[in-house]
Amino acid sequence: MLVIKNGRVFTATGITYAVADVLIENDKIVAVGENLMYPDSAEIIDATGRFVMPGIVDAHSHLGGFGAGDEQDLNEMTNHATPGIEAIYAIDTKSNDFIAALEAGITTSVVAPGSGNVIGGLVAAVKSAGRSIQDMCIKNPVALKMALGGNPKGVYGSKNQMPMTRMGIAQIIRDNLNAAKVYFNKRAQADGDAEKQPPYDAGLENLGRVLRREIPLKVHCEQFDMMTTLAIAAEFDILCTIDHAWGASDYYDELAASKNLVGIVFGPIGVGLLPGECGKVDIESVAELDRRGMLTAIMTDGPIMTAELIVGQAGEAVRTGTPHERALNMITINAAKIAGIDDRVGSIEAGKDADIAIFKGVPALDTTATCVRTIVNGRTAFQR
Amino acid sequence: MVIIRNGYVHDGHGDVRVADVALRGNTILAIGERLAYPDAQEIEARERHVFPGFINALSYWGIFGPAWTGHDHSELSDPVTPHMDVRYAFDHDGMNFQRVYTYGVTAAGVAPQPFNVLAGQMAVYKTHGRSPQKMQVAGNTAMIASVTSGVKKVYGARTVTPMTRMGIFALLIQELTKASQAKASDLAENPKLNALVPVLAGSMPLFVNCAGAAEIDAVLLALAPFPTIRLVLTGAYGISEAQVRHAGRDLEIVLGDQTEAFSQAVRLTKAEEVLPLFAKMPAPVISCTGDNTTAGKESLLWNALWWRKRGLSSEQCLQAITSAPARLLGVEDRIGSLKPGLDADLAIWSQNPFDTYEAELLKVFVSGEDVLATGGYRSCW
Repeated sequence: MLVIKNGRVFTATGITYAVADVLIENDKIVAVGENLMYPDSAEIIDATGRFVMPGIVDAHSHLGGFGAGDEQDLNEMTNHATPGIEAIYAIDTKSNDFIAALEAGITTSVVAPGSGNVIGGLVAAVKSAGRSIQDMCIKNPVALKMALGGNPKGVYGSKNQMPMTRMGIAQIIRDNLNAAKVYFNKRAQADGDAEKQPPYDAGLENLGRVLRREIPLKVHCEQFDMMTTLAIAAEFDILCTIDHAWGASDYYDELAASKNLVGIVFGPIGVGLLPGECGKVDIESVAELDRRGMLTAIMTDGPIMTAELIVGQAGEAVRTGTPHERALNMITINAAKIAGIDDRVGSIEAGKDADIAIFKGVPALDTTATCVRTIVNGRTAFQR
Repeated sequence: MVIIRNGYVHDGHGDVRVADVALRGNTILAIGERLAYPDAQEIEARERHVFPGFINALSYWGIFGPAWTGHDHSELSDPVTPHMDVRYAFDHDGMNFQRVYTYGVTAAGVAPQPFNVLAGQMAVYKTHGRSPQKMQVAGNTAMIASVTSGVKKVYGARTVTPMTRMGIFALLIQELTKASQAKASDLAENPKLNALVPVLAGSMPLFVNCAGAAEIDAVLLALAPFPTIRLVLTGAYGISEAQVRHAGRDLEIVLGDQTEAFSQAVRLTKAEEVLPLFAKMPAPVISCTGDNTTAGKESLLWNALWWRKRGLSSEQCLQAITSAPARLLGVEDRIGSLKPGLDADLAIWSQNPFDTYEAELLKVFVSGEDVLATGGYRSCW
């Protein structure tokens, strides 16, 4: 047994203990609370004066998929829609990105294909440490990535191919979802008759998971593109997450009214502004989104932003009006819920994976707060 | 006329005291206790922090955009363009649009992007204003050079020199040598060489963008025959105190952006090797600019906090983004400190932003204008 003793424990369940212990057996949390009993043989980590929190969950990144120089494995820009491909095959588990994540207290990252294509491929949730990608992966897929706006327009429009406009982007998504409907209708009509079965299509199979509401669309969108996402989700009665969400402060009512919106993954900030979709970078919106009951998370988009800026951005949420513990939820339990992995990670509760970050100082409040130990599956994966 | 009462006044040089600050027009009139002027607008700042406006020593604000294309920051038709002057590229709408003053940043060095061996000449601008002319603090403040892989990528892809670091340094040394040997008649006919005259004379600093220790080493070797050049290393991710100590010349440093990880350079920085430099004079300047254009309004403060987390004090962080860049850019008689006679560029924060994320910017004055109150200039972008 491992005991993290006498820390100030933020559990991300609504309870923060001024002083408490976290008991870990193998790779799971078995108890958290005050004055817990444990055997003399337990290994002790003294967390006196330290801030103990769930391992941080980054709800949107590209860790291990962009190498040095121009090498990359997350944008398969050969076709505007590639629903049949999977980010999990792009992830280099030996990348420095994961070391930086561990140093920052990030224990789980939701790794998505890039935004070059309208439909980019499947998204996986992976831990920051492990023996292999199979070992590190918590869940695959957690979503199907899509991208609206300037990115796919820039890639294909410049080649005189669709999409050259946002009209084209919306139609590509609708065409693909309709094709998947036809595919599954044919499948149903075939009723097991191999002769009548449509040929297997990995992309349509993945779109089927979306149509059955097994996974959400994870949609790169900002400003009014967010409304396109909601309109398509309503038309097909499918789930979606809105990622980046710059300009959300103009759309509180519409976002709150959606029955298909799983959550909002805001960020990154600290970027130069350009007219159009990159013109409003309104981190202050997360306070209001959260107040209105929407699941809200904050992302690094790593390696766009360095890993430790997951905490810095939560700090900016605090600066602009988000209560401190609500801001910490945005980089732990909210992110886990949006990715559908909250049965495993995102909070300190009995039964969850033993993923813990221990900070000197209070993260997202003290500017000097520093992660001093990161525990993944009950093992110390980083220590300062 | 404005009097800011009873705030913690940080002068930008390490001193903090409770005082009043009086502003008249676009200048700081007086700093002291119980200042009294008739008809002054009073701003109570008890328990608040009053800082000089932050200065980002190097930026592309005002010269990138207004779309993903259309930039004016890189004249990549030729790897040697020392005669380019950023003042012909600076669009005040682009600068105003960034709203960096909402994070207390009131001035910035604006420089051509470092993708040429010699990229051109930078200038210093306020971050808010109604025309480039009104916003300009100084022109031709430094010559921008670069020896990073960013240069190799541009020209190597065209199979044009420089494809390698050898090519970069051959061009750099050749241009400086030619300029140093040029006759007056040559200079009159050659604007490139003419642009390098103040660099060789030491009156215009040479900012050399570099990343790793090997690049820094090569810069020191190449410039050893030019002792009169005032050398400033920018980016300088792999710099160490030992390398500065053994440089064989005076060296100034502008530390590059630590927030964007696509730049592999951020992994080169060893904070413990750099921190001793802050105890020396001149101390390094902290900037939020590297080989990219992503820096936003939060980025300069974040970079200061990156170093704060690794051991700098609040006041050292403040100096590194106020008085230190002002001195480096030769504009310390205008900005970078809270002193009577300087421009009224200052910000009032609810708490100390170098200590807590709860600190909010309450007011910011740029050239005496209370920008949050007036709503600021409406950029046409």
